[in-house]
Amino acid sequence: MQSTVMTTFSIVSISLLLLIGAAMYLRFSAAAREEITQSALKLIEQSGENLEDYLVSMRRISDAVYYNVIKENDFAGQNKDIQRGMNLLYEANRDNLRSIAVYGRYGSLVAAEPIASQKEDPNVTQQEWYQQAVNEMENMHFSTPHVQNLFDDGSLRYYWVISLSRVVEITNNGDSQSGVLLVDMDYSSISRMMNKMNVMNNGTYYYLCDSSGKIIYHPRQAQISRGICSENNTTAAGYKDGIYDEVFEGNRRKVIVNTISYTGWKLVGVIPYETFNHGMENMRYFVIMFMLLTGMMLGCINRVVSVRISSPILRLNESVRAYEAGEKPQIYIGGSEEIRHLGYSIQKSYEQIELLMKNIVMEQNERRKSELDALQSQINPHFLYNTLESITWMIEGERNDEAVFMISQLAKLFRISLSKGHTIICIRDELQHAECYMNIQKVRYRNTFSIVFDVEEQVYDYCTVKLILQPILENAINYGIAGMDDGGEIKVTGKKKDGNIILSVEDNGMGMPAEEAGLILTDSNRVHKHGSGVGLINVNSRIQILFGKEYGLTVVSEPDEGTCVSICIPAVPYTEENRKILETGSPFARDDINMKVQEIHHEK
Amino acid sequence: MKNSKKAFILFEAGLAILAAAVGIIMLWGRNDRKLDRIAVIVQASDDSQWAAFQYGLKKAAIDEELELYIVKTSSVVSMKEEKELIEREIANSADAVVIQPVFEEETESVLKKIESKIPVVLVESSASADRESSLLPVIQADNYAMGAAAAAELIGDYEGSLEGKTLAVVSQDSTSQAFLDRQKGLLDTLTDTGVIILQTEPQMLEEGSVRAEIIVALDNAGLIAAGKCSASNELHGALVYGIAKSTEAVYYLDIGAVECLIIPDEFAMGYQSIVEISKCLDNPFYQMQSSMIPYTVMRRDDLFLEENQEILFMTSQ
Repeated sequence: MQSTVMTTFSIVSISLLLLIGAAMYLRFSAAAREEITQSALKLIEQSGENLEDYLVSMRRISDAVYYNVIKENDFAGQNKDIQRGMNLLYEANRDNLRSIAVYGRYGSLVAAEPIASQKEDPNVTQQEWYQQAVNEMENMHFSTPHVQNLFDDGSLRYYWVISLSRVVEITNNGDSQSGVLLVDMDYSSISRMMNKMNVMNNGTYYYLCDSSGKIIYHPRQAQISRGICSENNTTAAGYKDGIYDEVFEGNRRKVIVNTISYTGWKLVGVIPYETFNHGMENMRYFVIMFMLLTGMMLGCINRVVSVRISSPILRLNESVRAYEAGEKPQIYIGGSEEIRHLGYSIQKSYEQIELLMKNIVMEQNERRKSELDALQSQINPHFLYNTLESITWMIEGERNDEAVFMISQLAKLFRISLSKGHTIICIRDELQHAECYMNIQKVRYRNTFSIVFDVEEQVYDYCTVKLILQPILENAINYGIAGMDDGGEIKVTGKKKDGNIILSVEDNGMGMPAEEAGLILTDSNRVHKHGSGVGLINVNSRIQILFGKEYGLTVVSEPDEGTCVSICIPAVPYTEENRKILETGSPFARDDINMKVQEIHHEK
Repeated sequence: MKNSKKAFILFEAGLAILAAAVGIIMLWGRNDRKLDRIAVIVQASDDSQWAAFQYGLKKAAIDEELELYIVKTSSVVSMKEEKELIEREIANSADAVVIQPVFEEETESVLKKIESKIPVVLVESSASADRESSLLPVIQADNYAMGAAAAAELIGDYEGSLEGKTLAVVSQDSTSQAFLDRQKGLLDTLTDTGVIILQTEPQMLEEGSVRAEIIVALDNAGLIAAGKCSASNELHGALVYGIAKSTEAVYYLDIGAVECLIIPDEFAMGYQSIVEISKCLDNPFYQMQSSMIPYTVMRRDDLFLEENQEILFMTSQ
């Protein structure tokens, strides 16, 4: 039962736990994914603004050179002023600038800052920035990063720059002619900005490309150019600002695009889905750990709850089983209110059963007693009727002395019969009662038979059921010697044998066949035919009611030889206590008496 | 009852074991995983000629999540010194070594012994006299092919008319296997051209004691010296060809002091060497492979082409 309760609880709780764990993980992972995406978006927006600010500042420099220096001065006469103005602007922004230069219509260098020797033949008009400026004169143009191929500063180095070029109007000796203003921005400024964005080593990266997808900055630019890896930059350049899901070379990833105003450059953030998984690894372990610990806790709680539920039921069950096995344990009362109530109910029902059993036993005893009394009461009226009839005859025949004797004997007989209402008397009284009875009968039968009492004295003080000899003697008279004219003999003997008392009534009458003798104690109809209706059966029943089935009468008879009826009763010393015990008539009382008898026997 | 108790104890014990395992994994993950440390030993490690190579090393180290340590070395390192450096790096818990071998007789056997302890990858040249049968993995440019390419450019420029011309071969380290291979490639290609070959050193060029119509520099130092002399018109009109890998060399090409420059892809060499080591560290049964990196023949006119600008980008790092 406990296993069932615990298994059920465990299955339910583990299922719930799994559901909660899965829901928790999904919720957290979605939140973490959203957070990663949002933080990348914020970073891109912030960096985009910084980049825009940087590019705006470059445009301002270009504007300042053009409007404050070039337009305000004539290159023919104010070369020094122009150089000074350009120098001031260069020095103020030298951290971000590589050079400022003004070229004439045919690519000739007009002015430059810092002052450096121009390369032998840089072929300016063929360079991309120059052509862009000339082709779209109204705009400023940002190039993609390239090696500056203009000046030789003697450092034996090459610089990566992004060129901002525009067509400008140059005044030379009052003549206005077109030229190109070039502001070369140091690529390292943008590179530094982008490097800062790419410090996180979690798989997320950011790159910058122009509107056609040409890469300006990429953390793996060298690898891409060598084909070690690749980038979906051309597609990304076509995206509008926003967040996109894409699959590139079999890898799912989130792409965040932010357009840099004026240049049309795209700042692109790439978050591979592995990054989300990488970020979720700790969360996954946390959720698993949480589920395991909660599982352990639930296991303990389930155990405690199932034990608390099942333990009182099991203990109640055990006490009921013990009761059924014949023990008399206290019925377990404990646990929850319902189980306590159940315990109380069972205990109460058992108590009631016991009470009922006692009542039944008591009723049975009462019934036995009343049966005994009824049997006993059948003797007296019959005998009294016969005796009083004999006394009447005596008085009518004026045999007064005999009548007096009869009456005295009758009185003695009744005194013993009454015995203060006791059923158990001592053998001495029983013998006296028998003697009185026989004296009366002898008178009635005019001494046609003789009576001999041969009883050992030692049996006098043992218990017996009263009035058991009298019906036997009556039978001996009626069936044994009644038909005899003279010479009838009845012998009453008594002895103690093997812990029992044997009282026998032996006559020398006509006797009967053995089969008939066997029926005397069972066939009550036969007795009724010849006697008063109160026969040996009554005596036998009374003995057995009080002493048990193993005691009672035995009848031995032989035709023309006589009959011997023996009474066998336990040798229970006659005391007030034993009398009371025996008179209760219960089987338990018999057991007690038997034990006592055995004890006495052993003592002897 | 007993079975129920046993099942409960087993259930709790099972969960406890799992929880402990997950806890250990969590703690393991929380502790920063120690990166494998790769020591790189090349001659004159601070020299600008290694810029692209070191850039490649660094990029690969980031990609492969390895810790890189470039050992500071002087310009000349002997095999004995190199061995001491390697042992010192191993003592400093280096997990692998990338090394430019000093060509001596016992170099290969010494490095082979070291390879039994930690993975070793050679760069620039093999340690074996026979360039085809190196016992150790080598990431290098095809030195023989580069020498041959220089000769081919030269023959092309002179339209095969080299008969009687004097050609000086310049190299700082004429003992290295790389030099020997390049020279072999050069000489093999120039066979039957009638050109007269001289062997010289950068110092002799600077001293102006070399009289030749063509200078072929077979290493970076040689080319810079030749370029410098050419720029200052100390070569008496000699044309300079060569193999080099620094911005200085490119500069001399840019200003016309060098006619033709052959540049090996040093970035690829650095990157590839780390990738091979990473594979070996990830899988101890992996057999590291030798590979040849590409090279580019550059002329002044195509120096600023987009593809060549990338080479400049690498060498400028």
